[in-house]
Amino acid sequence: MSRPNIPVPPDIMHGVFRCNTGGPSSRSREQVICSSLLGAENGGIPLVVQVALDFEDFDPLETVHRILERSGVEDPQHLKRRYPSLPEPCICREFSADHPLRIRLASDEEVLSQVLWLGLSTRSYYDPSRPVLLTRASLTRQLQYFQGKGFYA
Amino acid sequence: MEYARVAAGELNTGGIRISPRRVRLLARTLLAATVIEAGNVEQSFHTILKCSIPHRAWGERPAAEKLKAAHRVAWDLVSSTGAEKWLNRFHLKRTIATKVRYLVEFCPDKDSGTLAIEQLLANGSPEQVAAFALVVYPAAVSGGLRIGAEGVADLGVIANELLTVNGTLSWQERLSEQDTVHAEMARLSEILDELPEEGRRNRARQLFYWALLNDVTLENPELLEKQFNQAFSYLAEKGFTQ
Repeated sequence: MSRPNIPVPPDIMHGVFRCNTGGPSSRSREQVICSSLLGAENGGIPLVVQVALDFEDFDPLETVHRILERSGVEDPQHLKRRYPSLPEPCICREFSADHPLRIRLASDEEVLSQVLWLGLSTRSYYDPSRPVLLTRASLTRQLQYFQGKGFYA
Repeated sequence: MEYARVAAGELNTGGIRISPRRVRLLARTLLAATVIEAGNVEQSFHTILKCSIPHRAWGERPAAEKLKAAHRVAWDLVSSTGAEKWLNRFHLKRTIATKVRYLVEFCPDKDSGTLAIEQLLANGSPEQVAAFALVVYPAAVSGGLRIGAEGVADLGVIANELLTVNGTLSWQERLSEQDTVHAEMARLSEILDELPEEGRRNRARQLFYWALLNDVTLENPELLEKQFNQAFSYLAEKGFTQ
């Protein structure tokens, strides 16, 4: 923008503003907000269990099928009868486990009980009434399970 | 009567205020029209509603589309039956607490519950949707509500954003000032400080932090928190506890 009696500097003429805008000087401030009701003490949703498997370099799906075969489980659905799991749905949250259960070192029983939890869960929801679905994605998730009803306690 | 009540409520929401006396007058006129005119009275109802608005008398012309919308909502409610009627009534409930109560006590089946949730999530205001999802989701996950798996999953998408909030709030601070806080954070913190119980405070904090991080300005945070807490207390009383 030019005015009749004021010479306009060449940098403004070419679209580069280097002059003082006239506004008050300010600095940018930031505040990190991190808060969760999952697992919190007061008003939160209680943690039930956490499940994480470490397959290292092995293929998760092939490894689990091999363990199922070795344990005499023909169909992953049969895991529901064989291992105890929570009878009611839960809220799930992915987390980064410090010490996931290492497949190579754990017993087949330990691995399969965790496989059942993972097979009944999506990323955010555990439903014991749904079929056990074993995929690479579901087996490699590290999940925490929270009991929704506890929210209203 | 229900047509008159719902139409008046919708008009009031749209800024066309009519008195209780006029609503009673409207109900009597509608009854007379129903007696005189056999068969489909929808057009007559619309005409009577338009003629019952006194605003023209003081030179104000109420928006035709608002009248038409109020008529449509009221007519759909009185002419619908069964699950459809329940669905219409659910959407007419104004607060989170009344919606939750209506969902828990009167939802006819899981399909209707799912449809109600889908429509609310699609059309509700962001803060109402967020508060509703946060308060209802844990009960829905536990299977305590008549909501199908799709509805629970869609509630979960919203509720998970609130159950854990994680982000950075930024604002500008003048060089002459120090240790300022975000203006909206200061306003919401005052409200949180006045809440009597720690659990209630933590739940409200989650809702407020979500709003802050998502640039949702809460017009009346006290009222939103109060309604949220009413819905929470109702579900707790209903036995959605451990």
